[in-house]
Amino acid sequence: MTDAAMPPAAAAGPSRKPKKSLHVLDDNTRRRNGAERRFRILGGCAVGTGVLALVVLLISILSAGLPSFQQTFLKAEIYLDPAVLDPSGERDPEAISKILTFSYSPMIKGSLTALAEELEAQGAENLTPKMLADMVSGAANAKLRDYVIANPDEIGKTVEFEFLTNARIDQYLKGKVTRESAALDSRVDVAQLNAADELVASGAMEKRFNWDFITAPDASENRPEAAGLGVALLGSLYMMLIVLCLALPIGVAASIYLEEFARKNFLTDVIEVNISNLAAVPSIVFGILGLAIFINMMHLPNSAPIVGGLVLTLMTLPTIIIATRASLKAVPPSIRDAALGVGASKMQAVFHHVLPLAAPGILTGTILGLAQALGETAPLLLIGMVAFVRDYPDAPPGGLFEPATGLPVQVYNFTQRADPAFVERASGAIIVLLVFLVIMNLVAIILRRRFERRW
Amino acid sequence: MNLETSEMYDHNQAKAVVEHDVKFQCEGVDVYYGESHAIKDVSVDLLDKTVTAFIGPSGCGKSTFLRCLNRMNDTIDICRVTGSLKLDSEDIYDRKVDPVQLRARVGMVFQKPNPFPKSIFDNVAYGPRIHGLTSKKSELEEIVEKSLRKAAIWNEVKDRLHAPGTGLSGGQQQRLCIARAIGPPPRCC
Repeated sequence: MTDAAMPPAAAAGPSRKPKKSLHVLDDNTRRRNGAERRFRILGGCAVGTGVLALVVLLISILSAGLPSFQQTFLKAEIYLDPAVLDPSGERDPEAISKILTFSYSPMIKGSLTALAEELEAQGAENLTPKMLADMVSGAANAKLRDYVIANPDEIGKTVEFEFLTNARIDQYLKGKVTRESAALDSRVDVAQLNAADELVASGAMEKRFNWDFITAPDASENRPEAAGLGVALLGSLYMMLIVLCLALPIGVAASIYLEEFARKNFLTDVIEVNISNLAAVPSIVFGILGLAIFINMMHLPNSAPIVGGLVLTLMTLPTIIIATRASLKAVPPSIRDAALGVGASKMQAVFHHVLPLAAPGILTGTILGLAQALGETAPLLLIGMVAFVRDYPDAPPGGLFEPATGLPVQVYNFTQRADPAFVERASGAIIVLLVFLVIMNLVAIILRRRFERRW
Repeated sequence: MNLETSEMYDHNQAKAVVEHDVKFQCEGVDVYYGESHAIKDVSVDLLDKTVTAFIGPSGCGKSTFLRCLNRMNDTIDICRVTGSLKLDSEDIYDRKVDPVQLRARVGMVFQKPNPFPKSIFDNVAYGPRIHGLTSKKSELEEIVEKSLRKAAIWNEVKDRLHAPGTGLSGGQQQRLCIARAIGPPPRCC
């Protein structure tokens, strides 16, 4: 206000009229309010754009990927012929597993013929046994064999088995394959689609939730309906275990040493700059390093989670160290003084007082680093984890040296394949990956809440 | 060697003590923070069983000098202390002296209250615990009560010993820090 300019007489009056009313905004205030309003609108727009992009992303992934958790099955009764499956009659698992999938074909054919005849008797018009056989996935033999090996007691009985249908029929039930596209497709014809309609009407064919998508191993190019994420999930899990067990202790110990004990000199400055630079190094460079050192020099096996875990550890370490140092720095120095003043040693001060206060930040940094490592693809391509792996790795520690893939690599793999049915599976794999990331971030938030203390 | 803390804080008895021994003997103390010369040639004798106050304008080095007495300045990389500081005629800057051991005997309360973000009880019990004074819970409770009484805060906190120390008011926090400093073995504060 311009008090100095006021005449003294006006200032003395008890109910004088102010020269400038507070009820009228002056130019300066109006300008500043305008700037604030514009900034708020801009900020709102920025947040809105981000949220919109996220929503579009989620909707597109969910709409493309959710159907992959459902799969179409054809239910039929099948007689498990003991003469074929267990000639010795001893139900010896080893003998049963010697019977190859090839031997199951006649049985399945018989079962499907029976089903076709039964439905024809009920009035179905355009079903032939051959057509049914064409609709069943090439993976059905193997699935039936797995079932028999798991349940040897069922041999000799007639059981109802759900045959996996092939990807075209599955996609037709999901609305992706239409009569127009089927006319151009050599692997399906319109008659099969008509037959599928009748099977659905009779209740023999239906979609249901498919655990195999999450637990089964990958399948070949021609059998997208049988492809799953089991090996990739295990591989990712093993790698995360390795990263957690190596990166957390090494990273936290390194940061505590650098932050609390090391003297500030040229060497620590160099180390600090290098750690910051390492955090910015493209991940594929770590892949080359892993290839050169862990595989070529140390002769660790290709495609093994141990190598992937080590490479991801190297990649995650700078992130963890930077986060840990930042949270150690954020602990007020008065706490250290207080502990030292009572006669605590430096290590007691750090471990009794500083570390607990820094724990939430360290945990958040670690979990964010892990999440970053979980989604990393490029270094895994270089160390061979992009391979087609169908065998589950064993339990750790032995399994760490066996071939596996990782979730993001599996997504990459699915998107590389020609069959359109893999589009859905790639999106489904992304959903699984995102679910894991969300769970990890939730854990980070919960741990943060729990450990957070005020000072 | 050990001071009787009860006498230190009991004014009636302190008056009764006529002869005072010199506890700290400081001669020609200079403190440098890097290039800047913070304390210039201070010589002073601090007496046993007395309260000594340093008075001066802001930034004149009162706290810096206090921090020399239990070598808290060691934690500052660029700080350098010269001159002679003797506790019971032993040079505390001698190479053989471990500052941690020294600080167990020379307590310090800082300008700003800095309680640990723990319960009031744990704040006071921390010193006795790390120095292994007692393993019995009852003895520990006794020490805590004694320290809190001496810091004149016992009546205010006796019902909420397990409430966080950071929840107290500023003045109470500072008294808690005093109680914490006199909690460990009897010593100078």
